Amino acid sequence: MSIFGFGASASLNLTLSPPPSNTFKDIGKPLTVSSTKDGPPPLANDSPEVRKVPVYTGTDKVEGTLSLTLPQGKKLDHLGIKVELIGRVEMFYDRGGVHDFTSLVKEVDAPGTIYDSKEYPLSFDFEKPYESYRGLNVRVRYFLRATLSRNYSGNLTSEKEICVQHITNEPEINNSIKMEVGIEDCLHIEFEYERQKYGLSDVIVGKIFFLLVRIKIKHMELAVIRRESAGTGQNIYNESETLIKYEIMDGAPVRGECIPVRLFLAGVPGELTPTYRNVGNRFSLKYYINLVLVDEEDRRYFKQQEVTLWRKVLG
Amino acid sequence: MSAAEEQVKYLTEATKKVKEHAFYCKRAIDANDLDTTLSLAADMLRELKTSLLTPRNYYELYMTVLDSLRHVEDFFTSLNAGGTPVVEIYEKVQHCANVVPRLYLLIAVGGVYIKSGEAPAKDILKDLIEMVKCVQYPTRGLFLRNYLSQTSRDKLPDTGSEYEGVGGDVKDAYEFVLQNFSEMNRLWVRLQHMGGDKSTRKKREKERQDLKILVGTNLVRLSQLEGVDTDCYRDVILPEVLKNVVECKDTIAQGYIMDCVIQVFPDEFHLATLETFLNTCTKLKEKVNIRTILQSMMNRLSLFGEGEGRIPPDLDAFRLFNDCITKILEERSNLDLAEILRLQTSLMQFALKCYPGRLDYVNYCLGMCASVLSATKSESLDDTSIAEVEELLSIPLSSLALQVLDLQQYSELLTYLPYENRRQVATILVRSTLFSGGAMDSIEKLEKLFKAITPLIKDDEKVEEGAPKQDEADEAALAEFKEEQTLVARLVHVMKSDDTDVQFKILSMARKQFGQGGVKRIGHTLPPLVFAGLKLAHKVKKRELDAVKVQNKLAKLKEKQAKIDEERKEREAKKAADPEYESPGPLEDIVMPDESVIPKPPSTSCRKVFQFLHEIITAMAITAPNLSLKLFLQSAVAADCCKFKAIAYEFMSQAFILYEDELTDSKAQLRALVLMVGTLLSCSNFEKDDYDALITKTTQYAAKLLKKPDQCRMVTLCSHLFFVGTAEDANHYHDPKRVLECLQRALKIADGCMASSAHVHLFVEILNHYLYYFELHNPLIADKYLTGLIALINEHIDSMDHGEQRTEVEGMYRNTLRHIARKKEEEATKEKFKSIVV
Repeated sequence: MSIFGFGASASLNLTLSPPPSNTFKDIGKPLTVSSTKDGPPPLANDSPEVRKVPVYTGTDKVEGTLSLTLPQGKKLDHLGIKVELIGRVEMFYDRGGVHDFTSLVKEVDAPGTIYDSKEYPLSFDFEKPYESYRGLNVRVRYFLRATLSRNYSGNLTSEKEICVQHITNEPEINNSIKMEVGIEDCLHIEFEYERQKYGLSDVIVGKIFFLLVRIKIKHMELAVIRRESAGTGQNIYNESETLIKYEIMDGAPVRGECIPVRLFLAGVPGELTPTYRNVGNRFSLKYYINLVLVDEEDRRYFKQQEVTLWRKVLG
Repeated sequence: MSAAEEQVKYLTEATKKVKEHAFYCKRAIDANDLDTTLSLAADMLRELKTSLLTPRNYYELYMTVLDSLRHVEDFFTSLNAGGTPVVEIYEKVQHCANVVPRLYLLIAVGGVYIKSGEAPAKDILKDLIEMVKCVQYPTRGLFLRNYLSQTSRDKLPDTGSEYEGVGGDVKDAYEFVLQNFSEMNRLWVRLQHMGGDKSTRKKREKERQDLKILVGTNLVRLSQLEGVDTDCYRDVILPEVLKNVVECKDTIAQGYIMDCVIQVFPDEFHLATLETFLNTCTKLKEKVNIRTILQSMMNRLSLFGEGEGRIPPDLDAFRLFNDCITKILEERSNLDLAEILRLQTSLMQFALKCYPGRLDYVNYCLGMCASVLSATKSESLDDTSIAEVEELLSIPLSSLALQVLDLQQYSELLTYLPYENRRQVATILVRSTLFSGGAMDSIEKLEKLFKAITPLIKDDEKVEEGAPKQDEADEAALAEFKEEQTLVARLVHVMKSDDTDVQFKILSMARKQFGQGGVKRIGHTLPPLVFAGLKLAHKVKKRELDAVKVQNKLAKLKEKQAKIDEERKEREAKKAADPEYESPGPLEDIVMPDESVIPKPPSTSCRKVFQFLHEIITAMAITAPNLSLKLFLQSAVAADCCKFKAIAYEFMSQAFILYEDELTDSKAQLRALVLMVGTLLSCSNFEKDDYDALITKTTQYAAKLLKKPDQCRMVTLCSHLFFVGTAEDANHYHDPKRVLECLQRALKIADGCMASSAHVHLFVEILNHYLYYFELHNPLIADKYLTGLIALINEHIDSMDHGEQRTEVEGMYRNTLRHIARKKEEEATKEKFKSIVV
């Protein structure tokens, strides 16, 4: 409502029905455990309520209502009303860039005059190829935008963010990671993680077997690293972030000692996502676990292994 | 800042932080906020990550933390009661990125988890024991595992526990504890190898000693498991524990754990596994003190043997221990002599306690020592070894006493000891011989005993004559010497044989031995021998008399038999002459007693015994005249009693000679005279001439005493020597004239004592003697003497000064007069006493 007496103006409002999963998610802040990295600017209307967006799987229908509200006794001339659904990769490094990988437009009303408030049911049934993602240099987002075009005054618009997550089946092939590493005559260890692929709230279980220990180890930790690689060719921007350093051993073991490893991924801060191998040829997101041994002089010996994460449930 | 001050500082700071975190943690608990509680509890537990504290101080900190951790445990329990599945918390605490706090929290939840019954106890225990491996730092690992052990203590699926069944069985329980034990031991051993030079090594050893109890606690837990029976212990528990002991190759750990095993497990278990245990002992590191281990085990079993239990007969514990010791001696060349001796001593002690009858065992141990000693090349033993040998030889005494002398090896070992130590052992030997109460009834025994106690019998031959004997000046040494000699003297009382001949031989031998002791010893040792001799004399006399009686009887029997023989011959003659002759009846032979039953006369005659006594007393005469005099008198009485008149006279005269030659002290003379008078009065078999000589001499001695009152009293006393027995007695001796002379002489002497005003007293005493003879009808003691004496006393008594002396005299006098008065009244004596004027 205008307070200047020009009378109330018309408004356009998109409302989404609850998603099939009935799950909602806060998508406000970038996924980082660092307090120093800012990441991309916040989305519009960044308030906690607005950020709670419905979560859809890749194949879920997106349904809702577009309501056009007219003040009593007013009429509205327009050049047509349309609703777009856009999937977009936004880059923030270098000079940035926006790439829409999906754009679907639906004409909901032909040009004409509307005398009364009106509601239009909406239903989009389309493939959403990538998960929503908020990284440090890259963002993948989906949103609906309704536009009412007018020729004399500005258009009326309304936008709604949605979140997409892909649920994957348990991988059929899931071998263990097993490796013997070492420094000659100094340190020989054999480590084994039970699997290579993990659900987001799985537990990494493994063991470290010490074959030879000639250095004075102070402690051992397992780090979970997330690496975001954006760009192609020469212009690759890598952003690696250690999400957790999980201490798995205190003190120095002797030869023959076998140390158990158990890391609850659910306890890893900075919200894990599945591994994204290739998102529209624009970026990839990979996870690694890094086994680090620290000696008494704070020298670090490490071995990094990639693990593949997949999503079992929405959330 | 000194190291100690630094420690205090570190501890104070850490404790302060712990308390701070604990405070906020408690608030979070009150707010029912699990996430915050966990994070604050982790902060608090992170303080246990320190490497700066010594084990003792770390323990302090650990206890502070555990105090607060209990609140967190309670919080978990209450959350669970409120519906939160424990498994959720169990997972959540594992999100903590630091390993030390994470594992403490995991154990805390684990305890609640087991209690909740949401999962089988064994699974949770397995998970916990696996996860705590993540702490490999020795001190932190040990304390973490101690917390695990403490938390799980009442949650093991032991037999009879509420967690048994679904939660597992005793196997799961002991496997859990065993694993924890094994890992803790490894951590503890590893602490030793944390680097550092020699100075830090000592420090490490000290720290390890502080921590050992943490390792040992696991063994206590094992011993507390209800489900572990003898079989299980033998087949699983002990082999596993011993495997750890051997494999850790660590001196401190091996010693400690072996000791722990001995202490914590019950006797039955040890008996069932003794062989295994001892086998392991031989595999320990060289520096481990195996002796103390074996000793503890033997002590343990001995106590068991002494108490209710019995070592099963099929278990040859002695052999097992001995094999073990033999093997150790073979394998360890570095054992010093004292240590070897100690080992054998322990084994012997064990044998004594557990196999009381097996002297061969004891002998064997002694023999081992003897052979070890003979193999040592050095001339003299070091002090510790000497002390050990002394100990070794003293121990069997308390239980075996004289039986040790039957052990061949015992005396041989004694020779390895220096004189002084042998003397100590000898003292103990004598003591226990006396204590055991066994009789020394054979020459052989005595010979052995004397050989063993030679140091008490005579001085060290090796000490040169001229060498100063400092102990003579030393009062304590003198007292000790006296005590020892008294002990030796007491030995005489256990030298007892029923056969007088043997007894004589025994005493003769003792005499010979004691004789070597020199002047200072015989004063102690010979007198009891004299009394033993006197006792023997009586016995021999009785035997002789018995023998004579039997011989007489036999002679009579033989006579009768002869008569019968004669009669028989006569009858046969008659029959030959006259075939018609009828025998009046059958003639029967006398049944003669069996030769072997007839008591034989002793081969040592009574006379010989007295000769023996005479010789002994004479030997002492110069050094102890007083004593010898008494012994002579004593012997005289005995001889008289046995009717050896000449011998008795000889003894008496010896006493008199001593009196004359050696007794110069007037008091001693007085005492001796009293004894002599007494002796003479108790003898009754002297020849008259001999007796005359003796009593005359005695009276002369009495008259020659130095002090007048003494003279007076003794002369009075001597008067009795002249009036012995009553007229009816066969060997009475009455010489009334001499009696009167004595009394009158006494009065005269008393009269001379006026200066000391003792005369009245003497008068009264003499009056009493007069009265005595008067009553005995001594014809020369007339009433006039009595009347006169009474008058005399009356006269003098009034002039006495008032005082104690006078009161005493008056009392005595009054009683005497009262006696006379009573006699005057009595019918029988009325007539006789009538004439006495009071």
